[in-house]
Amino acid sequence: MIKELLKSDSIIMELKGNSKEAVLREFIEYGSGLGLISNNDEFFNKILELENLGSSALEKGIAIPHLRDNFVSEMFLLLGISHGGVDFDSIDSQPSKLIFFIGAKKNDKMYLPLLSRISRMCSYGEIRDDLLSADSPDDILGIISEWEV
Amino acid sequence: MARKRNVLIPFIDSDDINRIIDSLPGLRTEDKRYILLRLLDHEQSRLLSKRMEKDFHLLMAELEDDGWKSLYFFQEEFKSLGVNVRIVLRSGNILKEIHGFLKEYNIDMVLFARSYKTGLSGKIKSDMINDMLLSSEKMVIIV
Repeated sequence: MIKELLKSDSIIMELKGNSKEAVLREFIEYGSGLGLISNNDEFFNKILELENLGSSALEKGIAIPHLRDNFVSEMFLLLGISHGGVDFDSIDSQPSKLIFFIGAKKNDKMYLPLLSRISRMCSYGEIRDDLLSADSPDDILGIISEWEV
Repeated sequence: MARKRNVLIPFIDSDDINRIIDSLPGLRTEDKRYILLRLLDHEQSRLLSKRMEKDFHLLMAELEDDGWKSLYFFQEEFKSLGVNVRIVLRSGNILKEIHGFLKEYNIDMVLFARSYKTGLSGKIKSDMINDMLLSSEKMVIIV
């Protein structure tokens, strides 16, 4: 499921932003460049509003900011890595290093299964370490494909 | 600005959260940050895997997927009510997991839904609530 949505060009090997807002903007601009997002400001405002109502950060350096709304044309998944970490206000106060960014239509039925699958995958320390030490998008896709098998 | 108080909501089945969502309008939520903690009990899962003749690890993977789905579903519900919420899933021995969580994080109170279930899941839930009432130093609220 993850490997079907995540392509090598949807992986940012090193995020430039060093704050939650900057990283969200970076994902939106990147997604816009891929033709996945058209209304950048509206997307940013809505996803930030959701973040303020409860962080999308999980424990152990993972964050999955996500938005389901009618102005998203089709489901997409981006992955960004920040080796230095970004403060996503996580419950364990660890900076987020693996950041998955999801957009989907309001009634997309794959939205919850995708969030669930990513969360479970990232609960394994070995997978987190492998993803963080990967050298290229293809390495990352290989790690995820192997795990999903 | 005063620190938001952390309210832990441990749960083992989704009905509990529906009951808590129903009671949210009556609770003061503005000064609180809720943490939904989905617990999966290994002992219960082992019995289930035997009964279903299904590999334990395969079953756990399915249960964890379902657990995360319910967490994200309820996170959306809470957020749609303007309530600040985070989500966590833990599996293992439920009592150990809750106590570990309380030690690890700065939790101010624990919120449970009243238990109406019978059978093993009802027993696990009752044990969990009783244990919190008897041994936890945290404030425990049952709705």
